[in-house]
Amino acid sequence: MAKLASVIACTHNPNIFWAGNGAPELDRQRTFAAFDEIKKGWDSAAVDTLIIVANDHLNTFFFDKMPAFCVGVSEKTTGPFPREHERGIPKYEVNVDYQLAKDLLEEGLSRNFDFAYAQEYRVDHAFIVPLHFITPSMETPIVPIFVNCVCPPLPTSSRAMQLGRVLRQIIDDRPHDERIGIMATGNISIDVGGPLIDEYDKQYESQVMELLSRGAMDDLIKLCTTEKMLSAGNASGEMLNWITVLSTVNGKAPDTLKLIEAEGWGDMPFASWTV
Amino acid sequence: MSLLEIHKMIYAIDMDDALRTEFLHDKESVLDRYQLTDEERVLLLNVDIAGLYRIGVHPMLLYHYGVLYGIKRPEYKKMLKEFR
Repeated sequence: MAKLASVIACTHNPNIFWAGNGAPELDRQRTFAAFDEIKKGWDSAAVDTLIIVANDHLNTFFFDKMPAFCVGVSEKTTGPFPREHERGIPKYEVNVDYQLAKDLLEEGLSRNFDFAYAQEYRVDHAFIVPLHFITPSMETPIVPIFVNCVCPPLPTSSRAMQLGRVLRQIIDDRPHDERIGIMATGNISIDVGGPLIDEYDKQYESQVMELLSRGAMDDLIKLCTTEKMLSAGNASGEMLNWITVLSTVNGKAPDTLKLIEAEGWGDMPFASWTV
Repeated sequence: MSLLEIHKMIYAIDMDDALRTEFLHDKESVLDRYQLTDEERVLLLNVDIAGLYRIGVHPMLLYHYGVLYGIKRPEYKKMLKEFR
Protein backbone atom coordinates (compact mmCIF):
# COMPACT_ATOMS: atom_id res chain seq x y z
CA MET A 1 0.00 0.00 0.00
CA ALA A 2 1.12 3.52 -0.68
CA LYS A 3 1.74 5.77 2.26
CA LEU A 4 1.67 9.52 2.67
CA ALA A 5 5.11 9.77 4.24
CA SER A 6 5.89 13.48 4.49
CA VAL A 7 3.98 16.73 4.20
CA ILE A 8 5.72 20.08 4.02
CA ALA A 9 4.90 23.63 2.95
CA CYS A 10 7.24 26.51 2.33
CA THR A 11 7.84 29.75 0.54
CA HIS A 12 9.04 29.79 -3.06
CA ASN A 13 10.37 33.32 -2.76
CA PRO A 14 12.73 34.01 -5.70
CA ASN A 15 14.18 37.09 -3.97
CA ILE A 16 16.53 34.66 -2.22
CA PHE A 17 18.32 34.37 -5.56
CA TRP A 18 17.45 37.68 -7.18
CA ALA A 19 18.69 39.82 -4.36
CA GLY A 20 21.34 37.40 -3.16
CA ASN A 21 23.14 39.94 -1.07
CA GLY A 22 20.05 41.94 -0.21
CA ALA A 23 19.23 40.36 3.16
CA PRO A 24 21.31 40.82 6.31
CA GLU A 25 23.45 37.81 7.26
CA LEU A 26 21.27 36.90 10.25
CA ASP A 27 18.12 36.86 8.11
CA ARG A 28 19.88 34.79 5.47
CA GLN A 29 20.91 32.25 8.10
CA ARG A 30 17.41 32.10 9.57
CA THR A 31 15.95 31.49 6.11
CA PHE A 32 18.39 28.71 5.23
CA ALA A 33 17.92 27.15 8.69
CA ALA A 34 14.16 27.07 8.10
CA PHE A 35 14.68 25.24 4.80
CA ASP A 36 17.14 22.88 6.55
CA GLU A 37 14.65 22.12 9.29
CA ILE A 38 11.96 20.93 6.92
CA LYS A 39 14.57 19.18 4.77
CA LYS A 40 15.64 17.06 7.77
CA GLY A 41 12.11 15.77 8.30
CA TRP A 42 11.81 15.23 4.60
CA ASP A 43 15.07 13.26 4.38
CA SER A 44 14.14 11.01 7.29
CA ALA A 45 10.80 10.18 5.62
CA ALA A 46 12.62 8.43 2.72
CA VAL A 47 10.10 9.55 0.15
CA ASP A 48 9.98 7.83 -3.25
CA THR A 49 8.02 10.47 -5.08
CA LEU A 50 6.89 14.04 -4.43
CA ILE A 51 3.61 15.72 -5.33
CA ILE A 52 4.12 19.49 -5.51
CA VAL A 53 1.09 21.73 -5.17
CA ALA A 54 2.16 25.13 -6.47
CA ASN A 55 1.25 27.86 -8.90
CA ASP A 56 2.58 29.13 -12.17
CA HIS A 57 3.20 32.88 -12.55
CA LEU A 58 2.11 33.48 -16.15
CA ASN A 59 4.99 31.42 -17.47
CA THR A 60 3.66 28.02 -18.50
CA PHE A 61 0.04 29.14 -18.46
CA PHE A 62 -1.32 32.31 -19.95
CA PHE A 63 -4.67 34.02 -20.39
CA ASP A 64 -5.29 32.11 -23.62
CA LYS A 65 -5.59 28.88 -21.59
CA MET A 66 -5.88 29.04 -17.82
CA PRO A 67 -6.75 25.90 -15.87
CA ALA A 68 -7.87 26.14 -12.24
CA PHE A 69 -6.16 22.84 -11.33
CA CYS A 70 -3.80 21.06 -13.69
CA VAL A 71 -1.62 17.97 -13.38
CA GLY A 72 1.66 17.87 -15.30
CA VAL A 73 1.75 14.46 -16.99
CA SER A 74 5.15 13.91 -18.59
CA GLU A 75 8.42 12.02 -18.13
CA LYS A 76 10.51 15.10 -17.33
CA THR A 77 10.24 18.82 -16.92
CA THR A 78 12.66 21.72 -16.72
CA GLY A 79 12.82 25.01 -14.91
CA PRO A 80 13.01 27.81 -14.13
CA PHE A 81 12.15 30.07 -17.10
CA PRO A 82 15.01 31.86 -18.90
CA ARG A 83 14.37 35.28 -17.33
CA GLU A 84 14.31 33.69 -13.87
CA HIS A 85 17.53 31.81 -14.60
CA GLU A 86 19.22 34.99 -15.86
CA ARG A 87 18.48 36.56 -12.49
CA GLY A 88 20.18 33.75 -10.57
CA ILE A 89 17.93 30.72 -10.05
CA PRO A 90 19.83 27.57 -11.07
CA LYS A 91 18.50 25.58 -13.99
CA TYR A 92 17.38 21.98 -13.45
CA GLU A 93 15.90 19.06 -15.31
CA VAL A 94 13.53 17.19 -13.01
CA ASN A 95 12.12 13.70 -13.48
CA VAL A 96 8.36 13.46 -13.33
CA ASP A 97 6.66 10.34 -11.94
CA TYR A 98 4.62 9.75 -15.07
CA GLN A 99 2.65 6.82 -13.69
CA LEU A 100 1.61 8.63 -10.53
CA ALA A 101 0.78 11.78 -12.50
CA LYS A 102 -1.45 9.80 -14.86
CA ASP A 103 -3.05 7.96 -11.95
CA LEU A 104 -3.75 11.20 -10.06
CA LEU A 105 -5.41 12.63 -13.14
CA GLU A 106 -7.56 9.56 -13.77
CA GLU A 107 -8.33 8.85 -10.15
CA GLY A 108 -9.11 12.51 -9.54
CA LEU A 109 -11.58 12.56 -12.41
CA SER A 110 -13.23 9.35 -11.25
CA ARG A 111 -13.65 10.94 -7.80
CA ASN A 112 -15.30 14.04 -9.28
CA PHE A 113 -12.25 16.25 -9.13
CA ASP A 114 -11.97 17.61 -12.66
CA PHE A 115 -8.28 18.18 -13.20
CA ALA A 116 -6.98 19.59 -16.44
CA TYR A 117 -3.69 18.10 -17.59
CA ALA A 118 -0.63 19.30 -19.48
CA GLN A 119 1.86 17.10 -21.30
CA GLU A 120 4.12 19.96 -22.35
CA TYR A 121 4.96 22.49 -19.68
CA ARG A 122 7.86 23.92 -17.73
CA VAL A 123 7.99 24.77 -14.05
CA ASP A 124 8.90 28.20 -12.76
CA HIS A 125 10.43 29.37 -9.47
CA ALA A 126 7.39 28.13 -7.52
CA PHE A 127 8.71 24.59 -8.04
CA ILE A 128 12.43 25.08 -8.55
CA VAL A 129 13.20 27.28 -5.52
CA PRO A 130 11.87 24.79 -2.93
CA LEU A 131 13.31 21.80 -4.83
CA HIS A 132 16.71 23.48 -4.85
CA PHE A 133 16.68 23.55 -1.06
CA ILE A 134 14.73 20.38 -0.18
CA THR A 135 15.92 17.88 -2.82
CA PRO A 136 19.08 19.47 -4.24
CA SER A 137 20.16 16.24 -5.93
CA MET A 138 16.88 16.36 -7.92
CA GLU A 139 16.78 12.56 -7.70
CA THR A 140 13.24 12.37 -6.34
CA PRO A 141 10.67 12.37 -9.15
CA ILE A 142 7.88 14.88 -8.82
CA VAL A 143 4.27 15.29 -9.89
CA PRO A 144 3.41 18.95 -10.43
CA ILE A 145 -0.11 20.07 -9.59
CA PHE A 146 -0.65 23.63 -10.77
CA VAL A 147 -3.25 25.69 -8.91
CA ASN A 148 -4.34 29.01 -10.36
CA CYS A 149 -3.48 31.31 -7.45
CA VAL A 150 -2.63 34.52 -9.30
CA CYS A 151 -4.99 35.03 -12.25
CA PRO A 152 -8.50 35.78 -10.97
CA PRO A 153 -11.08 34.36 -10.98
CA LEU A 154 -9.41 31.91 -8.59
CA PRO A 155 -10.71 28.58 -7.36
CA THR A 156 -12.02 28.78 -3.80
CA SER A 157 -10.38 27.73 -0.55
CA SER A 158 -13.03 25.08 -0.03
CA ARG A 159 -12.22 23.63 -3.46
CA ALA A 160 -8.55 23.51 -2.45
CA MET A 161 -9.61 21.63 0.66
CA GLN A 162 -11.50 19.14 -1.52
CA LEU A 163 -8.38 18.70 -3.65
CA GLY A 164 -6.39 17.81 -0.54
CA ARG A 165 -9.01 15.26 0.52
CA VAL A 166 -9.07 13.67 -2.91
CA LEU A 167 -5.27 13.47 -3.04
CA ARG A 168 -5.20 11.78 0.36
CA GLN A 169 -7.90 9.28 -0.64
CA ILE A 170 -6.05 8.43 -3.83
CA ILE A 171 -2.80 7.87 -1.93
CA ASP A 172 -4.44 5.79 0.80
CA ASP A 173 -6.25 3.59 -1.73
CA ARG A 174 -3.21 3.12 -3.93
CA PRO A 175 -2.08 -0.52 -4.10
CA HIS A 176 1.54 0.31 -5.02
CA ASP A 177 4.21 0.08 -2.36
CA GLU A 178 5.25 3.76 -2.43
CA ARG A 179 6.18 6.44 0.06
CA ILE A 180 4.67 9.65 -1.24
CA GLY A 181 5.50 13.18 -0.10
CA ILE A 182 3.40 16.28 -0.65
CA MET A 183 4.72 19.82 -0.68
CA ALA A 184 2.84 23.10 -0.98
CA THR A 185 4.73 26.21 -1.96
CA GLY A 186 3.94 29.90 -1.66
CA ASN A 187 3.46 32.76 0.73
CA ILE A 188 0.64 33.93 2.98
CA SER A 189 0.83 37.59 2.00
CA ILE A 190 2.65 38.57 -1.17
CA ASP A 191 2.19 41.11 -3.93
CA VAL A 192 4.01 40.75 -7.24
CA GLY A 193 4.09 43.82 -9.44
CA GLY A 194 1.05 45.47 -7.85
CA PRO A 195 0.56 48.51 -5.63
CA LEU A 196 1.45 46.50 -2.49
CA ILE A 197 4.77 45.22 -3.84
CA ASP A 198 7.31 44.61 -1.05
CA GLU A 199 4.60 45.01 1.61
CA TYR A 200 3.16 42.27 3.78
CA ASP A 201 -0.20 42.25 5.57
CA LYS A 202 1.14 41.48 9.04
CA GLN A 203 -2.27 41.24 10.68
CA TYR A 204 -3.55 38.74 8.12
CA GLU A 205 -0.29 36.77 8.33
CA SER A 206 -0.68 36.50 12.13
CA GLN A 207 -4.29 35.36 11.77
CA VAL A 208 -3.31 32.69 9.23
CA MET A 209 -0.30 31.55 11.29
CA GLU A 210 -2.46 31.18 14.39
CA LEU A 211 -5.03 29.10 12.52
CA LEU A 212 -2.32 27.02 10.84
CA SER A 213 -0.68 26.34 14.22
CA ARG A 214 -3.91 24.66 15.34
CA GLY A 215 -4.63 23.08 11.97
CA ALA A 216 -7.94 24.97 12.09
CA MET A 217 -8.90 24.21 8.52
CA ASP A 218 -12.55 25.28 8.64
CA ASP A 219 -11.66 28.66 10.17
CA LEU A 220 -8.87 29.07 7.64
CA ILE A 221 -11.32 28.49 4.81
CA LYS A 222 -13.72 31.01 6.32
CA LEU A 223 -10.93 33.57 6.57
CA CYS A 224 -9.38 32.91 3.17
CA THR A 225 -12.06 34.18 0.84
CA THR A 226 -10.73 35.25 -2.54
CA GLU A 227 -11.37 38.87 -1.61
CA LYS A 228 -9.47 38.57 1.66
CA MET A 229 -6.53 36.76 0.09
CA LEU A 230 -6.19 39.27 -2.72
CA SER A 231 -6.43 42.20 -0.32
CA ALA A 232 -3.23 40.84 1.27
CA GLY A 233 -1.43 41.05 -2.09
CA ASN A 234 -2.19 39.95 -5.63
CA ALA A 235 -0.33 36.62 -5.22
CA SER A 236 -1.70 35.80 -1.76
CA GLY A 237 -3.97 33.24 -3.42
CA GLU A 238 -0.93 31.01 -2.89
CA MET A 239 -2.66 30.09 0.38
CA LEU A 240 -4.73 27.74 -1.79
CA ASN A 241 -1.63 25.55 -2.09
CA TRP A 242 -1.22 25.54 1.69
CA ILE A 243 -4.89 24.76 2.30
CA THR A 244 -4.61 21.80 -0.09
CA VAL A 245 -1.78 20.20 1.88
CA LEU A 246 -3.35 21.00 5.24
CA SER A 247 -6.37 19.10 3.98
CA THR A 248 -4.26 16.04 3.09
CA VAL A 249 -3.51 15.70 6.81
CA ASN A 250 -7.14 16.51 7.67
CA GLY A 251 -6.32 19.70 9.51
CA LYS A 252 -3.62 18.22 11.76
CA ALA A 253 -1.50 20.81 13.57
CA PRO A 254 1.96 21.09 12.02
CA ASP A 255 5.03 19.84 13.89
CA THR A 256 7.03 22.85 12.81
CA LEU A 257 5.67 26.22 11.72
CA LYS A 258 7.44 29.51 11.35
CA LEU A 259 7.31 32.79 9.50
CA ILE A 260 10.72 34.23 8.67
CA GLU A 261 10.63 37.98 8.14
CA ALA A 262 13.80 38.74 6.22
CA GLU A 263 14.72 42.30 5.41
CA GLY A 264 15.06 42.65 1.65
CA TRP A 265 13.69 39.17 0.95
CA GLY A 266 10.28 39.52 2.61
CA ASP A 267 8.09 37.27 4.75
CA MET A 268 8.40 33.53 4.21
CA PRO A 269 6.33 30.76 5.87
CA PHE A 270 7.58 27.21 6.53
CA ALA A 271 5.76 24.18 7.96
CA SER A 272 6.06 20.43 8.22
CA TRP A 273 3.77 17.66 9.38
CA THR A 274 4.51 14.12 10.42
CA VAL A 275 1.91 11.73 9.13
CA MET B 1 -10.87 46.92 -24.85
CA SER B 2 -8.38 44.28 -25.89
CA LEU B 3 -6.69 43.32 -22.66
CA LEU B 4 -5.81 39.89 -24.01
CA GLU B 5 -3.88 41.53 -26.85
CA ILE B 6 -1.89 43.73 -24.45
CA HIS B 7 -1.18 40.70 -22.31
CA LYS B 8 -0.11 38.72 -25.38
CA MET B 9 2.25 41.47 -26.46
CA ILE B 10 3.95 41.89 -23.08
CA TYR B 11 4.18 38.12 -22.63
CA ALA B 12 5.68 37.68 -26.09
CA ILE B 13 8.36 40.33 -25.67
CA ASP B 14 9.20 38.90 -22.27
CA MET B 15 9.59 35.34 -23.56
CA ASP B 16 11.17 35.99 -26.95
CA ASP B 17 14.59 37.65 -26.98
CA ALA B 18 14.47 38.50 -30.70
CA LEU B 19 11.06 40.12 -30.41
CA ARG B 20 12.20 42.00 -27.34
CA THR B 21 15.17 43.44 -29.22
CA GLU B 22 12.93 44.31 -32.14
CA PHE B 23 10.44 46.01 -29.83
CA LEU B 24 13.14 48.14 -28.23
CA HIS B 25 14.25 49.29 -31.70
CA ASP B 26 10.85 49.76 -33.32
CA LYS B 27 7.92 49.73 -30.91
CA GLU B 28 5.30 50.81 -33.45
CA SER B 29 6.03 47.93 -35.77
CA VAL B 30 5.64 45.36 -32.98
CA LEU B 31 2.49 47.07 -31.65
CA ASP B 32 1.02 46.90 -35.16
CA ARG B 33 0.89 43.11 -34.87
CA TYR B 34 -1.60 43.27 -32.00
CA GLN B 35 -5.20 44.39 -32.11
CA LEU B 36 -4.94 47.35 -29.80
CA THR B 37 -7.19 50.36 -29.42
CA ASP B 38 -5.66 53.82 -29.89
CA GLU B 39 -5.91 54.40 -26.16
CA GLU B 40 -4.04 51.19 -25.40
CA ARG B 41 -1.29 52.05 -27.88
CA VAL B 42 -0.81 55.43 -26.25
CA LEU B 43 -0.67 53.91 -22.76
CA LEU B 44 1.92 51.38 -23.92
CA LEU B 45 4.04 53.89 -25.84
CA ASN B 46 3.97 56.36 -22.95
CA VAL B 47 4.83 53.55 -20.50
CA ASP B 48 1.87 54.80 -18.48
CA ILE B 49 2.12 52.22 -15.69
CA ALA B 50 -0.79 53.67 -13.70
CA GLY B 51 -2.96 53.91 -16.83
CA LEU B 52 -2.19 50.34 -17.81
CA TYR B 53 -2.94 49.12 -14.28
CA ARG B 54 -6.25 51.05 -14.34
CA ILE B 55 -7.47 49.28 -17.47
CA GLY B 56 -6.66 45.92 -15.91
CA VAL B 57 -3.22 44.85 -17.14
CA HIS B 58 -2.08 42.02 -14.88
CA PRO B 59 0.51 43.35 -12.41
CA MET B 60 3.00 40.55 -13.05
CA LEU B 61 3.11 41.40 -16.74
CA LEU B 62 2.95 45.12 -16.06
CA TYR B 63 6.00 44.88 -13.82
CA HIS B 64 7.92 43.11 -16.59
CA TYR B 65 6.90 45.87 -18.98
CA GLY B 66 8.32 48.43 -16.55
CA VAL B 67 11.56 46.47 -16.19
CA LEU B 68 11.94 46.60 -19.96
CA TYR B 69 12.24 50.38 -19.63
CA GLY B 70 14.57 50.18 -16.65
CA ILE B 71 11.93 51.24 -14.12
CA LYS B 72 13.18 50.29 -10.64
CA ARG B 73 10.94 48.93 -7.88
CA PRO B 74 10.62 52.09 -5.72
CA GLU B 75 9.81 54.20 -8.77
CA TYR B 76 7.34 51.59 -10.02
CA LYS B 77 5.65 51.42 -6.65
CA LYS B 78 5.29 55.20 -6.60
CA MET B 79 3.57 55.04 -10.00
CA LEU B 80 0.89 52.75 -8.50
CA LYS B 81 0.46 54.78 -5.31
CA GLU B 82 -3.09 55.88 -6.13
CA PHE B 83 -4.33 52.25 -6.17
CA ARG B 84 -3.31 51.40 -2.63
